[in-house]
Amino acid sequence: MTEFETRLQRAFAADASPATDPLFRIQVSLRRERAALRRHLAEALGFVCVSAVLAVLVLQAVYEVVESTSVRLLVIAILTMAYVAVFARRYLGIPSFVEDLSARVRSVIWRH
Amino acid sequence: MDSEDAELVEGIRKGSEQAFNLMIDRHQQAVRGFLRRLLGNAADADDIAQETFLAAWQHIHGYRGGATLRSWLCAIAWRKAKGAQRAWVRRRTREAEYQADAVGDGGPGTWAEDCVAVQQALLALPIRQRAAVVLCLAEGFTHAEAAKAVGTPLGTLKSHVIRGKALLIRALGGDLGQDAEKEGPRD
Repeated sequence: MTEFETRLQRAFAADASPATDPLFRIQVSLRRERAALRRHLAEALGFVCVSAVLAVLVLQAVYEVVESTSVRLLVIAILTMAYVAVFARRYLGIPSFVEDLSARVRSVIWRH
Repeated sequence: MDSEDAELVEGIRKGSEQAFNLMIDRHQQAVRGFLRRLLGNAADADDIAQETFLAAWQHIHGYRGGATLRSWLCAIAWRKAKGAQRAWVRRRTREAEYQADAVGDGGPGTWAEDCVAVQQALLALPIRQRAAVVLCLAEGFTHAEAAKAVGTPLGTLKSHVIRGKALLIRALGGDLGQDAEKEGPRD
């Protein structure tokens, strides 16, 4: 190794990063937590928007079911309510009405 | 990929924070060193290094194991650094001038003078060549590892390293050709 190569290596070694840096690891963890929070908020916001649209559709569907007894609209209404129940449980911690109902139905069937 | 890295990747895929922290401890020096020399600014480099590890956590399922883990991490860092290039390209000129002033009367050949000369010569290189030089000469990557990280053909990367090294040696006052000739194969 020539003198200049030695000096080059010395210059590179001078501004080397520390071998261990707990602070850096904590900063990465904080950033990861913030990213997870942002993603969670975005999902929740998306849920609220979809729920608002579905609420309007459900109201319309219920109204039309009452008016025309359309089976198709009834299915849409049931599916929408199931969707809202599942996501409400996931994001808001509300027990799933659908799951409770299905558990009760199962227990009644089991008893008979 | 060595067995320890393979275990870390497996752990991270299962959502283990401990494995993720170990990966940071193991590879932060290489990633940060690469970015610091590439960007010439420690704060920007650490910011991108943090983003790099965050991206690694999010996309660990995309890691196929074809490259070493540190090479994969540096490839992410390289892409992010290129994306952020515009923001720091103006700043780096001012900082290089400030550094040159701060060294003052060290005289040619002193340690501080060498550091500044090398940093300035590095920053004068095209970014792809700079990345190749930093990975191979400062971070100890093999040519093949560096070629994967930077996404450059192996022959081109070797050429970048040889020419880059010659320029750095010249910045230190050495002969352009003399040392470059000694860059042997290191695949």
